[in-house]
Amino acid sequence: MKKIILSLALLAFVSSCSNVDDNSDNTEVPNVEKPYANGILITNEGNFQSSNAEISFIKNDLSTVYNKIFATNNSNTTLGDVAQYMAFNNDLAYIVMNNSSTIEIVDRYTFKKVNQITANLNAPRAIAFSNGKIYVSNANDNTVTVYNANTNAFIKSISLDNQPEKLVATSNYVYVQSSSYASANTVEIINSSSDTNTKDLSFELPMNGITLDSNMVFVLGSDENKTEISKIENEAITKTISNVSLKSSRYLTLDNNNLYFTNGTGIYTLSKDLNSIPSSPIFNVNDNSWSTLYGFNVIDGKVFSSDANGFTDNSIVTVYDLTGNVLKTFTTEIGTNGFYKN
Amino acid sequence: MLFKQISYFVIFTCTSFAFAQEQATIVLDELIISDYKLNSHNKTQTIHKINDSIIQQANGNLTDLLLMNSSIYFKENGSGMVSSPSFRGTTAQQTSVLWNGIGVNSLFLGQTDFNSISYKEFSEIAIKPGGGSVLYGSGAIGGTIHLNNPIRFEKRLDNTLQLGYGSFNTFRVNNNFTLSNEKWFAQININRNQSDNDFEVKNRTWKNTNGQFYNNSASATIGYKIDLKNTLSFYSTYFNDERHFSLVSENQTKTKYQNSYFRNILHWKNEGDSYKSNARIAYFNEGYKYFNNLPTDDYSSGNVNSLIAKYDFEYFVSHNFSLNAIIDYTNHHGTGKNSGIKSAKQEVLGLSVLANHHFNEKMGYEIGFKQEINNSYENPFLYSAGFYYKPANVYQLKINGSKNFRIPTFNDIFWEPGGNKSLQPETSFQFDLRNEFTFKKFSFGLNAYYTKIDNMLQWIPNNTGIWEAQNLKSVAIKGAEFDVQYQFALNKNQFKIQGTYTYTNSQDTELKKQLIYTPFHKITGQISYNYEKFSAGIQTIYNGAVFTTASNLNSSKIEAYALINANMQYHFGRKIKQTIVFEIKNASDVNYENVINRPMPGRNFNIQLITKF
Repeated sequence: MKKIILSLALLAFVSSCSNVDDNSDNTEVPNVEKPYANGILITNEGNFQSSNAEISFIKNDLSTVYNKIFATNNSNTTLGDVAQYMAFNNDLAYIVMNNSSTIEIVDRYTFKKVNQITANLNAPRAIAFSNGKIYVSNANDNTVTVYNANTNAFIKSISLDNQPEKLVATSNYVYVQSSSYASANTVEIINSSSDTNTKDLSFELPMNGITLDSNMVFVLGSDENKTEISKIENEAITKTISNVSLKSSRYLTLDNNNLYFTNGTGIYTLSKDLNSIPSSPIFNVNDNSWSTLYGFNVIDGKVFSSDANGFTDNSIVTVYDLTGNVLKTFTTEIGTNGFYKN
Repeated sequence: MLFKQISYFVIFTCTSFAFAQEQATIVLDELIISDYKLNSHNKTQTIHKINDSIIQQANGNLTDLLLMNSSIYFKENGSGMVSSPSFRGTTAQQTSVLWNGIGVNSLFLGQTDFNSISYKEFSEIAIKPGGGSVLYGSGAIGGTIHLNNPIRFEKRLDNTLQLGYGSFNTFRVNNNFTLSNEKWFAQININRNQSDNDFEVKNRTWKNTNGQFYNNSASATIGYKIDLKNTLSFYSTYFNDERHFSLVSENQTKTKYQNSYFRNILHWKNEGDSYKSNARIAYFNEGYKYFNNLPTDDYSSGNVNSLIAKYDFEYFVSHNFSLNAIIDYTNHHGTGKNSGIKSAKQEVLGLSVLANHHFNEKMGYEIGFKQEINNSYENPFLYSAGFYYKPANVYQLKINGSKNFRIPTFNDIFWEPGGNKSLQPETSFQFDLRNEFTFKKFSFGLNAYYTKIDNMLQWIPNNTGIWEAQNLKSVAIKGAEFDVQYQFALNKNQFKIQGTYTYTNSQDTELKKQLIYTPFHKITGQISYNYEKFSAGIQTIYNGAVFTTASNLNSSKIEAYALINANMQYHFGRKIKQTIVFEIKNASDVNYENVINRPMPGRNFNIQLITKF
């Protein structure tokens, strides 16, 4: 009997080992002075409550993906829980760690950690820079917290009316987009010289995207009935267009003077003059699973999309040209949610 | 392929062991349990029981008890935090916990959190691997865990007080009072358990933070024997707890979770020469509050009231053949505050027919059918059929096949946004074969099983960015379980050795990969030693590596670990009987985790004084 059990166990062991075939992670550092310049930085948010967020890097020529670049360049330390967003200020990259309530500051080209911000953060969502200061939206207590961009010292906390999502900044204003779950659909404007909430703009639809073109801000609103895109200049809405056949649109990004957003698996584009919202996409991304387009951006004429694989597996990033041809596919980390030009 | 070989070996080995020495059968005292079907209608499946002395000596939570005493794997989000079982390679919602015979898995989550349930008041905890939906309804796919308060009508008056103190400022008080005679039975139990849970974490600059918890429970069991034919019993329990959730990142916003439940069953048993009639009515309440932004008082909450009525009539056509009809009705009504659920309602009517035929002492079969009726989704027709054969006292064969299911939870259906009203129940087919060998000092059992589960429920982000519930994949599970017991004595030195080994191959049928958080291997082992008033024991567990990604990437693997617990006990006192228990957990100070970035405590100590008067 014992022999049989042993052989069973052995069999089991052998079969369990032969099941595993791995894709090897490329975690080496590109052998140049600024290893992460001239490429795309990618935030992988990781599983909520698991502290397994990481950053990946793809070279501009789409030749290689480098995964786990935070751990690789920082003695294998963990980045934290839920990498929500990333933004750049001079030579630094600021990674917004939502459930860690931390902003990790790294050199954007070497990815060596420089500093971190933790003071008064409460589930931060996004970050922007204006007037020598850092502005962070916090979802848990509906605030924007302000820090000195040179010293990272906390300056003040600004209360908002609604739960914030992303924010963008010009040299005079910080525009805070309300979360699509917020009770009202607003962009709350902060004057970055007085650091007060001077004006609230109300929209008809829940906010699903915001982007910036020097001094112009564009926002996307959508619900189950329609899609709306508006332009904001200084403290006023200067134009709004809508399309009643497009429901539940998402994301808004700007590349080469064109705005891009998504709807279902479709990629849509319009000129930043806001003539009209098209009813048909320029192309559809491949619908591989339920979590297609968990991350999206258009950078230098290339469409970056991620399939988060239901968060039970590493994400697949597919890069398309503007006519929908697949240029390249990469395996990144868990929950790829953003692409940033570096 | 592997499964075929296992069954071949199993069947082959039975025949060679079939004839051996005889052994007297043990007759159990008659007792009343509300979960009466456990003993009478599960002869073709495996049941492992944890006896009251193990329950009494246990410290820690129900996870710790079952981890060492069963083949169940637990996914624990850190010490004392949310603990989800995986029984026979299934999900947490596919293990059903029954309190005195009635299912108590959370209506919101569909699972029981094994670190948020009281267990000290039970003098019997039974673990039954395998399907049980015909008898126990939704969720009984991987197996069922039975928490029972047996009633015994005998003269008894005693009180047991337990005081425990341990590392990380862990503190427990439990008092159990029993008063009974030939007509009445009353038992009252109160329990308090708390811990700072602030252990040091190796290779990390900060301790386990915000992990403190407490829980309180009070329960009463009352039995009244009206006459020879009629018995009334009443079970009531109340529990509340508060757990701060350990941080995964040092500066994270602190959160805490409060759970409570209040459960009551009234049971009328009426028994004649040719029939058994059991009527039960139950009222349950469960509630939670989640504080997501400490130190503020902001919270979201949920609450469910349930009314359950069951009537069971069993008619003995002859002394060895019975027919049985069960009708049950449940009504759940849930409400929520600041949560995705405003209001949720569920009504289920179930009808079952069972037949038990015992040809003789050695052989018999059990068949059952069940159909549930519900207004929001289609329910499958459920069945089970089993056969047992005991050609000799040393050997017994049990075969069972069944179809089981799990209905979607309140969250799956009603959560806004993402809840899905067109979900179907998960369905499962299962085949199970057990060989049991019992010798004088030595016994062992070997199970082999196959389970197929379809329509697995999963929350997944869709391309409008919303997470929604869907029926997605199918899973095929092949497994084997081996358990062994050996006891012997050398003069006054008594030894008892127990061990289990489980092999679980639980594959996503599309990817052909092992499910995440499901180890291929788990081993448990226990040695107990007794010499007069002194006893000692060593318990050990080996938990195989698990994958955390569906494609089983090696880089996502959580490594295997082995833990050792050791305890010493000394019994003293004549009139007042006392036992002092000293325990070392994780004696070899292994640095381990069973969920990514959720470290578990290193070596820790517990001392307990049990006083019986």
